[in-house]
Amino acid sequence: MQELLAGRAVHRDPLLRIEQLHVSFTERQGTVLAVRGVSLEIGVGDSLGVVGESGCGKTVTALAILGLLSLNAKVSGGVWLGELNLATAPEKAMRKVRGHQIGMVFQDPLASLNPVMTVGAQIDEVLAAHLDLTHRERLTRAIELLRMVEIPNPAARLRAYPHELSGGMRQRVMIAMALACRPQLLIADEPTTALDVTVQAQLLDTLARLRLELGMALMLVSHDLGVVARACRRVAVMYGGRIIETGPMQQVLTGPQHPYTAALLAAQPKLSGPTRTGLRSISGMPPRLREDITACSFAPRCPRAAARCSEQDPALESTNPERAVACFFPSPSEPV
Amino acid sequence: MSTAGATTPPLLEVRDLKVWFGKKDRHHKPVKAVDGIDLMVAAGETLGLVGESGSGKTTVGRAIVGLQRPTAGEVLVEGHNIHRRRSVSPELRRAVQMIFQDPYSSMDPRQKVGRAVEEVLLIHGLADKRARAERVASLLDQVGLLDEHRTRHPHELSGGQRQRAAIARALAAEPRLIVCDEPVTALDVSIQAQVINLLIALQDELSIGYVLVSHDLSVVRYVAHRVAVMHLGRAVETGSRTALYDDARHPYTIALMSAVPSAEVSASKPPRVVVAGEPPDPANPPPGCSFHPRCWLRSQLQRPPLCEQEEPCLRQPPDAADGHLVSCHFVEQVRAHLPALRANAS
Repeated sequence: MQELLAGRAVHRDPLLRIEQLHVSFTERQGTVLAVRGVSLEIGVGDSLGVVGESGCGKTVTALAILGLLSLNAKVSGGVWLGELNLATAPEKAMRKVRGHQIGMVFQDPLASLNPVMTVGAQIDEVLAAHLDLTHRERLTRAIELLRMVEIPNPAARLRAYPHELSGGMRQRVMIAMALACRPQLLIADEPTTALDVTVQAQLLDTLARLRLELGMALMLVSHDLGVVARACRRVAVMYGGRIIETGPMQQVLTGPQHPYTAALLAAQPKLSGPTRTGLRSISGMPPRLREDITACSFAPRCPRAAARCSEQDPALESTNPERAVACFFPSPSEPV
Repeated sequence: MSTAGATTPPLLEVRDLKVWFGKKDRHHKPVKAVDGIDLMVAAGETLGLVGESGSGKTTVGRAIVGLQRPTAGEVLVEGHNIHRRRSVSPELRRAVQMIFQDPYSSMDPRQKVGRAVEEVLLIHGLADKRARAERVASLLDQVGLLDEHRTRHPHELSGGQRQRAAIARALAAEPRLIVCDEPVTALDVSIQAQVINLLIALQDELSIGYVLVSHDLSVVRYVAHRVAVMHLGRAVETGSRTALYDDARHPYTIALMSAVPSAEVSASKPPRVVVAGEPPDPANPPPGCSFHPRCWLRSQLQRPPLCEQEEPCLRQPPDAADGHLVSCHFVEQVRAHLPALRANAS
């Protein structure tokens, strides 16, 4: 048992604790360092948004938690779910974790669903694999699950094939399947990216409601700060395979400390404010992560970069009990 | 300059455009992807076309550049119908270009970027051999690509660079109108801003007219001067950017704006207007106003039968700005019902 630190006494033990997670992929052209030392915690019933641009390592982090990385991936570090390290756990143990303790939802439900099986049969399969229920109980449970994710007329929908449902409904089916065993943590990777805005808003509302009702923790991975802002209490911003800023959503959005977070917010067109002028783009491109960089990965694009930034990689350091930033020259933590 | 009465036609005028797909006989109902839309774009102006999937916005864009034959209606570029072969000179055809969402699939993977741009000059006979290389170099420079990118293949470029190359290719034809179909949707936020800024700078410099087709209301607001909101093949609200974004009147527009996920934390953030259900199926549109099954105003008005009986026409609400048109039977009552809605939402 881990002893509680004085400062942490108010918090319960986290549900999931990631410590110095490194993931690299060996390819013909060389090695790609996709995740370079990510540490984060998700508490019971907490909601964490993981935000970043393509290639920042957000999806790889999510897949590493679930042990779903491809065979050429090298994983080191700790992904602790209670006493179990998911990074080193055998496949047999992982099969129990996936679906049972951690549910998952991916971006494209059509690719995740079996096109030649009815929705009902697919939910039934999940229930039969994980729970010891009779056929009748499973049917009742499946209807209840579809009702929970707000699918109208659930009993009739069980007989539908995936192609007969709209994109939003398919994603709701995926969520229903992920929740079949009442997981303590739901990992959703870009769950609304392929959907229209009105449908996206409905789905995010459903996720937020389910989280509260089921006391489940949510890790929402997205490229869209707005999406994450709508559904999560805390946010972790990733860049170049690392978390560069983390903290409570409101604080990070109103007073970003890392120049990348600030730049990301300034680069996003908004529904208010100036038009046709003032959109600050970030020059250059994200790092390629072919070899380990000993500098801050954002330094080449950073307006605040100094000599030190290209010599040393800043560590993620706390600026107040809830916030942390990986920058030698962070903005003050109070919103200006 | 011009003699009395003779006015120069606008850069682009779309008149009652209809694009129907599928067989039209007793047994099959056509899918009315676009069902009567009127648009106008002046030189140097951006018209934003927004809507959800299936609203017909992309089909309108394709019909404007001539990639899609209309079922009825006209697309006039500087007064000439682009779909009537005899009325379009090669020069005019060249004047209308298009930029697609995914430059990876709209460019030849085996062709180097410089060659792809040069090809446009060749086809249109725009520069002789000596001038061509110079022109390619200046076009690449104009879109922010370096000379070294000239000899690269599309797969050797990043998404943002590929979109820049696609823009250079469009510019090579010296267009006066560009239809941009989701030009930044596939790009990361930081790169998206670069491309948006480039498109705006080019417009200001060259006075090109843009039709910006996008599902992203924030991007459209930033770039467009005027906006048309589409729903199921029709424009439900059109007007200037300020009219649309500061004074939206159509229940659908209001719902759409409130659904935009925003990273802003401010007191002025509009409260959520919830739309139930999903966009209707264009193959099987609801009768009357196409938005009525999802309309929050209709449910507040105790479901008046008119909404499902009659299709509303675009008209200017009495207290709205000039040119701000809305197609809703009960547009006069939208404002009165918004506060109640907001109270419910909070």
